[in-house]
Amino acid sequence: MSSESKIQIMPFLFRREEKEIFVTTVHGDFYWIPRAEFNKLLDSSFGLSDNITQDLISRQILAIDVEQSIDAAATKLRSRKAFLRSFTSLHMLVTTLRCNQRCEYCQVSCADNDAVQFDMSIEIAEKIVNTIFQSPSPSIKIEFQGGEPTLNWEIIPFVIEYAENLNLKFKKNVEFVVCTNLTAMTKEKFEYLHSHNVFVSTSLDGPKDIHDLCRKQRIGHTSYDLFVQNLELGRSIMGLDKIDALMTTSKQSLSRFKEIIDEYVRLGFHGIFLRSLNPYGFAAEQAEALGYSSEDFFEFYKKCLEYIISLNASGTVFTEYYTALLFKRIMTSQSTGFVDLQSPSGAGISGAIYDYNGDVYPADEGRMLARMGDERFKMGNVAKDSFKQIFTGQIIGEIVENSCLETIPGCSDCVYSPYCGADPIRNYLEYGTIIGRNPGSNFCKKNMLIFDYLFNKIKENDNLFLDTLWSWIVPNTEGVAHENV
Amino acid sequence: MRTYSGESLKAKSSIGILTDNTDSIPRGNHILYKDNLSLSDFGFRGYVTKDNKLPLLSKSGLKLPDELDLSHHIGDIVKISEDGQIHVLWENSCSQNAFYLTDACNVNCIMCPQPQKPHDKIHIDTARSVLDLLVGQKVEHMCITGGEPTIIKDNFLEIIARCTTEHPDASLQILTNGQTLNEFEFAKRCAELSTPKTCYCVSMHGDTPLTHDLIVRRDNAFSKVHSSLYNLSKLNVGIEVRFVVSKLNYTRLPGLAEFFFRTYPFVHHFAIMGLEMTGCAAKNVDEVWIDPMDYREELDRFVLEAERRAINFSIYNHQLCVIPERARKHAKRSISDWKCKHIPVCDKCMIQGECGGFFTTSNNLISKGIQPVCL
Repeated sequence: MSSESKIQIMPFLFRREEKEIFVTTVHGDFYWIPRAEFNKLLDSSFGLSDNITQDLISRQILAIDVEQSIDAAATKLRSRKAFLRSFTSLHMLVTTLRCNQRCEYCQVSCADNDAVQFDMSIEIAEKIVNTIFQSPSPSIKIEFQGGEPTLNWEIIPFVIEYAENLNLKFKKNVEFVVCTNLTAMTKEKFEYLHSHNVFVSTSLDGPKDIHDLCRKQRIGHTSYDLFVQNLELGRSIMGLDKIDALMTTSKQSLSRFKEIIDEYVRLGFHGIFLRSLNPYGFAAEQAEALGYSSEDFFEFYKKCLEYIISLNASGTVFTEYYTALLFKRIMTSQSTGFVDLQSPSGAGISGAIYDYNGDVYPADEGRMLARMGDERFKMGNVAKDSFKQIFTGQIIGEIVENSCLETIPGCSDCVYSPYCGADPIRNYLEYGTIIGRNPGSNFCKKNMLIFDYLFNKIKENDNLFLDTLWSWIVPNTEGVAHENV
Repeated sequence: MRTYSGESLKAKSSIGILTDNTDSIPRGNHILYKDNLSLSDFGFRGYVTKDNKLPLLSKSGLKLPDELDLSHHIGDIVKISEDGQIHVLWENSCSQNAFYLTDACNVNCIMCPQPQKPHDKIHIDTARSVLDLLVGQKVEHMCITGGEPTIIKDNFLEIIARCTTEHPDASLQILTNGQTLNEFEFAKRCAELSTPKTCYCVSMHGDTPLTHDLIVRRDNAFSKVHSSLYNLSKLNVGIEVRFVVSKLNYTRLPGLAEFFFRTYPFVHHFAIMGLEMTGCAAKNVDEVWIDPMDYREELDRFVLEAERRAINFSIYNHQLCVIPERARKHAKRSISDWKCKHIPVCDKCMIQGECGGFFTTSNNLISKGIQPVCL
């Protein structure tokens, strides 16, 4: 081919696999180059097969017209990082530290049911909303958290109505979410949330015995029955699509994957978010009783996913949200901001959390640390600091600077880094440094195993698996092709 | 376009609306179609007749052979040419009416069915005349093509401006090779004249310069198409990408959906097109022709990957019996009526009604896989 001499190599990341060299790029493209062909590539004389050469050029791994290739690659990268354009959109409010449950794995170390000194006041709530609306982001999501946020109910309607009012002027796209265990919800509260188009995010760990094992009421034993009763009440008022649930995996869940998924399906959820334990709060104290290795979690995740895919194949539309997120990152050039897995980290620049007393942290883990006596990540307080002081201070700068995977030792040359993210505060908690220790951390191990698994499915072209995952991220497809079953 | 031959009665050409009603006004916009003319029939722009003589002072007219009946073209816009031919420029019953603005082109595609010629201003005059006659008429769909219509820049802008202002509700397709819209200022002027129903149909015959530039036989053509697509996207103009499958690029089909989806996710519609084996394509048959049966697997993979990504795409110029079953629902009847046919073996086919058929222009080059489909 006459143009061969003009072909240039663009930057890429790579890893040896058994028969191929797996190559990825910062703009998200990937390719498996057979080993012999890869050697020809390094040997500057090229002579790669025509189809492989073209596959690599169309992915901007090689270039004939370098300017055009950079233009295409840069556009993809800009698109993937579009979450950076708007600045902080997720604002979490801790309306109270009180909780009516005492979950074994609670990461926020909640306070007693009657500890009203940990309630947010109307004055603080007003100042928080004022601060939130200073964010340049055109989209604002206000999430009520706790403790159990509904225990200090009056803050919720106040914030919603005050924000709606302010928004007449700011005209942002505003959404509200209440994160609740549902056990303190009533008909009137659901009706209020419904009338303001609020979403509800709740927690369900599985069937009754698994759920009750960790999610304990302070008074009485089971929280499950009340949860189910109020879930049904909520659904009858708000409809099926407004209440979603998060699942936290404990050691006891590992062998019960099928029952957990079945429980979600039975209760009418359209998907599940499989979440591993975070090593904070009570969970850190309970590590022995509840904890497990990254490998154990991955085995559990894999079994769940395989089971979910078999459900989809037989007609039950059901999504695993974490997989959907990663698959979208792998297969598209679209922006997929996700505060907990972003590069640079979403802590602060995408999401922030406001404690009951008006203190602002880049993430819940920062607030946790403060509760444990280390105020390192406190960005300021809404009562005395301006938006600018809080959000352009040294802490947020330090986090951003040290959470770009592209520059982090151990991550920058990882073939999965275009699809991964950083968790700087967790790094600080575990290793005392926000850069972290990768590879080797549990966070890294877990994600590596999941990426290995997903990319292997892509390489093998497992049609049922891929059809199902595509149907999760491209909602207007017809779903799984049943002929593959 | 549909063309009929007669015998010229007056050597001047004319363009008008064909009518059989002597009350049609103004007569100067109409061409009278009447077997026997009388004195009172004077004043029409032209005449199509079986008579030997035109009314007094007539400048344009032709005599039709006895066996020819044009009554199904009443209301259509036709041109009587100097040499006694009738060209149907605008058919009301047809959804594929186009303005051919030029025969000139700035690339030289190896499979082009319509060899380029130097630009002749007559095409612009014809387009203007047709647009004059369409004023106030209900038009649903218009197309601008060539040659490469964008190379006659000001005339091109004038014609799109008239299309979009005089028929703002009509959809407008503009066929281009994307070699001029890489200049942002020009693309911007085009975009300013566009409506939400305007779509630029840009040809891209490969996912790399290696294939595309080889096919269009111009260096840097791929990079220009790339910049044109980005410009049109920035300017928020409707975009279709057209890929003509040939022997030179069919191996790229399996990865094409992924390439489009990652690189040009803003494109509204993709067209995978079969060859029309005339013009350069016929001349270069050994280099370009491939039987669609021989890329069934590649096309099947394209369709699978495109469906997964919910890419909006169609398959043009392919017979249903030779493409994979998965692809059939995306196949459109894309060959213009006037150059479309079926062959005798198709009579037994149960899906002939949905099939786009063959090009009459393709020198009878047909796939070895043609066979009646039994459902």
